[in-house]
Amino acid sequence: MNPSSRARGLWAALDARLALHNFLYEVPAYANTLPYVLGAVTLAGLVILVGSGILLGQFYAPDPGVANQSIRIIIAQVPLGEVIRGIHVWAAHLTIVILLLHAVRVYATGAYRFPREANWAVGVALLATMLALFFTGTVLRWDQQGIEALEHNIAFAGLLGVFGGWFSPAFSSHVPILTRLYMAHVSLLPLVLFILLVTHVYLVRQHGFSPYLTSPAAAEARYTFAHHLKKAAGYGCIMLGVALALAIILPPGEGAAPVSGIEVTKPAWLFLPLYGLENLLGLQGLWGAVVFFLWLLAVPILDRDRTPGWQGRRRALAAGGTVLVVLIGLAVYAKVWSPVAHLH
Amino acid sequence: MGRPAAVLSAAVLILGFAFGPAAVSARAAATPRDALTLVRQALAALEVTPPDIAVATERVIKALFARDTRGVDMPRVREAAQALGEEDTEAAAAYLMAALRSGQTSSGGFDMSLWRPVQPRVTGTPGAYALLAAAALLIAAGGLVARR
Repeated sequence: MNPSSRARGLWAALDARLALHNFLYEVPAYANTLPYVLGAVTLAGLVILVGSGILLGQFYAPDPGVANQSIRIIIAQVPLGEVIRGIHVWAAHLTIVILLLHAVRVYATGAYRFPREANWAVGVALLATMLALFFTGTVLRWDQQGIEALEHNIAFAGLLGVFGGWFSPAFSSHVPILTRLYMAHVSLLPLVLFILLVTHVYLVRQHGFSPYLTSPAAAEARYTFAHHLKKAAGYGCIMLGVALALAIILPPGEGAAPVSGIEVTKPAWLFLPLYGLENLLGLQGLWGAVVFFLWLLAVPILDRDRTPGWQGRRRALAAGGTVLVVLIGLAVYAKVWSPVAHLH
Repeated sequence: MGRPAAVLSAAVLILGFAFGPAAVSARAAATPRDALTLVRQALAALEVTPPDIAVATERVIKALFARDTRGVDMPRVREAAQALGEEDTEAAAAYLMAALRSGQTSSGGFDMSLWRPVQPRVTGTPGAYALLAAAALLIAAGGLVARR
């Protein structure tokens, strides 16, 4: 038996048991262009994050008394600990950037329109879950930025009343909230993310790739989904390489052990618009996040224009562009302004 | 949704949110009065980039007037206040650390090194260059796979 027939035999044996042919459904040529592969690249980023996160989890102590120290031990004493932590941190930033670009592409091309409204809602929930993972990761650093993020989290939970109960330290008085947020970061949120991801991919499979906006002829199927995944794996490899290089060139340090009761830091870049809104409106500005996500969920309802091509996207693009400009404006304002005390 | 269900939902939402603001204002009212916490807060304000001199100065002044000065070497805090007046944040941070260190040695241990940040360091070791080469290989291999 020659190698190729052996490989075919192995494929047939695996396919018979795992139904792998389901991944060989046809996709249009444009599905393998960079704008349309960003969703799958996000998935590759998640694989990097899970892998590096599992390694970090072996050495991180989610207890307020020792959390900061355990990160210092990861940096200074664990073999390759600083590099793995750097990969985790940078891959988180890169994955969020790619996810946002994916969301912008889906919005710009109107891929949320019938029959994909439900999948858009699942995507919005995925974005919220990813932001929650990023946020809890920030708190787990347990430095000044981490504790200030946590205090904002608790204060916003106060605004939510009984609905914010889980986020309050009083919810479980004998377990530190840091420990519960760690549990959320490594099990609860990844579980939610997994369920949403499976639903997202399932719905993509059911509805197929969203039609190409300007050239319906491009919808002709030329590749299989396996090609799409291979492409994403390639970009995922690039992402891992970039994260590794950044981990070496710009390793993330660790702040001093935190002290509560002051606000002298600013959040990570993706929360800067919210921080800017908080500067303007006080703690109530945090409702801006709720308004933003409600707007995202309502997009398929608000946009009823069915005119084909970019012609039908003008109003939606104007609305999206306005939101984007406001978000960037708030972020720039928050970046240049000195830290403001919102809670104390 | 029927009308009774809608009314019930609205009532639950209103009652739920009603518990919020009181809890927030109660939290905001709490400010530390002991010099140890105030000095630690001042130090934290100086450890961020850029240092927050206004917050640090405010906390140091409060610490100077605090009744509970346990665990803090107060003369050092006065020196820190002077340094802050001259906007010498590095000296002020060093004085505050010294104030805590002197106080802590008399009252028992805490790892003082945790109160200073770990600065990111770029090492030019052969291991670092090997990892950079691995990163370049990953990028090149990924590029090949993505282009095929």
